[in-house]
Amino acid sequence: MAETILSVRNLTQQFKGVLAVDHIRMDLEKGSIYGLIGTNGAGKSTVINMISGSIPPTEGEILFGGKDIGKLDAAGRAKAGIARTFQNLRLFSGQTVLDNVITASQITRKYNLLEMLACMPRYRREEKDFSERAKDALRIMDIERYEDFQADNLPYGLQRRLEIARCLAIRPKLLLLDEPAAGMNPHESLKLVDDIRVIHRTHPEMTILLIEHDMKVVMNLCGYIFVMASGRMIAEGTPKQIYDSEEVISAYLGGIVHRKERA
Amino acid sequence: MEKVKLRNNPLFRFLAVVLLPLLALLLAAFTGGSYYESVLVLFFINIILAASLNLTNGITGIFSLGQAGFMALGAYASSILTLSEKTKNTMVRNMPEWLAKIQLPFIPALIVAAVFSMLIAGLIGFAILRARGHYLAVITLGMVIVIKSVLDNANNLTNGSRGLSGMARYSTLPVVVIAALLTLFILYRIRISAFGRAMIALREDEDAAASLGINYSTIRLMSFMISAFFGAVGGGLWAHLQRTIAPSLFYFNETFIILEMSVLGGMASLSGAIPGAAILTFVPQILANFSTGFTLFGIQIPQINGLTNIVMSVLFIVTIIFRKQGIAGNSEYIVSSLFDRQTYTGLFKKETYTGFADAFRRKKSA
Ligand SMILES: Nc1ncnc2c1ncn2[C@@H]1O[C@H](COP(=O)(O)OP(=O)(O)OP(=O)(O)O)[C@@H](O)[C@H]1O
Ligand SMILES: [Mg+2]
Repeated sequence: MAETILSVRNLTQQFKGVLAVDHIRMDLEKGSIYGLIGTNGAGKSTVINMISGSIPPTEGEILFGGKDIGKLDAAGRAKAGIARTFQNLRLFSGQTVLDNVITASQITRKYNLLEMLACMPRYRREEKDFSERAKDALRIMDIERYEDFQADNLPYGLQRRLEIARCLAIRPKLLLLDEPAAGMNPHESLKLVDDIRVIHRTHPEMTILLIEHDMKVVMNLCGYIFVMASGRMIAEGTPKQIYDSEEVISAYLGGIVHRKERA
Repeated sequence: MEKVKLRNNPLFRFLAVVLLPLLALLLAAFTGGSYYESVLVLFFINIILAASLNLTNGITGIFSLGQAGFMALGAYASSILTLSEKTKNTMVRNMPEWLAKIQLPFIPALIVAAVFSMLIAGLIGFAILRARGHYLAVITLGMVIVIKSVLDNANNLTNGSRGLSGMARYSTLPVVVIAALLTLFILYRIRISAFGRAMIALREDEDAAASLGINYSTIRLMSFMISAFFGAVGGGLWAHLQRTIAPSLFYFNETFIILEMSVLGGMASLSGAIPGAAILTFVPQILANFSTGFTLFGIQIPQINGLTNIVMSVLFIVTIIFRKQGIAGNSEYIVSSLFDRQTYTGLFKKETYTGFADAFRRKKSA
């Protein structure tokens, strides 16, 4: 059995009046692709926000690589190896594509201000390394030819890819993707599925958890799926198990329509 | 080929913004008039002040109104360090003996003063940088008030509201030109390093920056301290141009002047400090000739009190309305054309809006 990279216990988020996430439990094994599905407002993004440290949980614990990361802030978790995209794109829109990604690859920076001002070897070496790693990430997402473009001049689909490239540049152990195909046309989302597969193949150590509404994307990519409804985890299993589960069909997939599709 | 407007032409910009002042400089050298020389010295000092403010306000998105305070710290600390023991003892009553005894050459005094100001900024920043947006702006303005009242009341160090005088005029043209170029160079190096990218990331999107491992408090504190360092350099140079300083000189008026230079020039651009400083230095000098009244086509225009203030305020308002990003926008065409060939090609790219209102928009969106 592969080792567990992330394990979440009793994770809960109580917003004012809304129990957005209700004592959920999740275990992710190293090197697999997981899906997290559920209706609008089910609490999926909130789960990612809590894992990545964007918002503190009301209750529960998060173990990453066996260590409790509850005390780490978002920046600390990124350094520990958790990368995430946002449901609403959060690019540095006025910066170039390359600068966006270098801002991520510089997470390994060791040089200090004085070394930089004196232009010491370590500064030059690391800066070179940042931009090489950034370019690698752009190449993986197939957007390296746009490196000089200003981020918000890219078409929407490419901006989504840029956000993923930015995550890859920090070389994460766990990659959290919040609806990466949202707003993409069918052609773009097919290409994205291919690319995520490539990422998976070329980074066998990296675990991916993705939120997605498009069932084709999820069923195609994920080895294991979690299903949420109104803050609770109502089912989990392989795509086939989920596909066959009555509970999931009635709670999420909209029963009848879906059965027809299957017939 | 795409047609480029004259004002977007890098050569034109370079000529307008770098060569014109240099020409003026030459002119001053030839005329040798001490008046012109003083104005030019002031211009270069203003570049330092505006550029240092741009680091926090434009690049990091910390909207600070506190630069006059750090300028004051630099002015006072450097003056106390360069004045002779005799001068200090006759001017300031009960100055601690060890401090009165110290007398340093100008440049070391300036550096010590800047480091002092930077450390104070570290303490203050640690306490206040949790605040954001206009709250922080108001707090930094409060800081200016506090620093002024400390200077007013620390009689045995600062001679209170009477101020200090008798400093030598160390701020000659070569000194300030070198200081301004060094300041721009260092700030620009910071801007293109990992630290600068982190600052810009925080300005553009705090949450995204955090998700990439950028530490909010550390980077903001760093920006604030570096800004205070160069603010103090500007203050120290200014004190050794004016040769007499008092707490009231580092108050709201100076706050506004530095802010206006920074905004007019373009907060998000370090080199924007150059056109900003040029306007705020030269225009008031020109207007001063008119404010006493003049004859236009035979019509006698009477004396206009506060003409300078009116014109500068109108200019400020017009800029905020029609070109929030200031003259330079967020491009570093001057510095990059001087120091970095690579980004030079970026000149023809569309400029994005990163301006005054932007800094106010940086609120944490959960
Ligand atoms: N910051 C917040 N403050 C208060 N309530 C919130 C906040 N964020 C989310 N919620 C509420 O929590 C619930 C879960 O939201 P969440 O964004 O996690 O859902 P989701 O599963 O990601 O939905 P979608 O598919 O629409 O993205 C919703 O009812 C939402 O209104
Ligand atoms: Mg969501």
